[in-house]
Amino acid sequence: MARRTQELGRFTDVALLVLISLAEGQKHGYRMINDIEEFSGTTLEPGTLYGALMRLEERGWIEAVDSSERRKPYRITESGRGALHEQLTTLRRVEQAGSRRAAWGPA
Amino acid sequence: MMRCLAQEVLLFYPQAWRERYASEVSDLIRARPARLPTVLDLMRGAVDAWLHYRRVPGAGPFPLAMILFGMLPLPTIAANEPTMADNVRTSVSTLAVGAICNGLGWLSVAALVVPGLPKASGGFVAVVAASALLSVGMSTLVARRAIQRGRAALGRLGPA
Repeated sequence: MARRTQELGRFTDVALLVLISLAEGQKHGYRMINDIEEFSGTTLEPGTLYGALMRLEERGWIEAVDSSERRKPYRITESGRGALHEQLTTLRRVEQAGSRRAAWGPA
Repeated sequence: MMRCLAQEVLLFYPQAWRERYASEVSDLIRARPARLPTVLDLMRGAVDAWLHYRRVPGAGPFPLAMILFGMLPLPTIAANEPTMADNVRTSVSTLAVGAICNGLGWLSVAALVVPGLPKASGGFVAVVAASALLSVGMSTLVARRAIQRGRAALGRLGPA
């Protein structure tokens, strides 16, 4: 995660939440905020969400879906899925190391 | 109140950003509760969008000239208000220092570009040279104008 998302700066965590949200299907901003709030308990404000969307779009990890509606949906791309997989793998490794060292999880 | 304020903050984003995202964000502001943190978050987002202008989809060249032209009237307006003379003095110093630093900055660009000139394309050299000329020219204009106006403001405050 560190190498690929380093340039995302303070948007690293938000970008991960957005990628997780879009991994189950395309969503527009409003649904993304509600979904992220539901699964992570984090309430995103519009400025933060669109700062992350701008960066994810720039990297080609998400793309806007053509729509006649005012609310434009976004979907995750193949490279976005790859980046998400990489980030989750790193998080899993971190979680295992943390649990082991704190002796909460399996030894 | 907060919702209106949040909508107004969108005007401070770069035009390319507004063309791409403003309608979506505006819709989001209408659909969700708008609070002070929402407004502050949008203001922070506007600063971020300007700082990372090149990341905005469809962004053209950075509107430096427009910003510099926009700065010109500020000392003029402020200088006409005697109570702001101190602020004018501070701001003209800042502007003048900024303009000098800008000129010095281009010297380092020139030092880096000159060794590579034999291999550089004509177009690249032309763009860099034009940018340097425009940037230094505008900075000089800003500094000169700011200093003149600052002096004028201070003169009005002097003994009658």
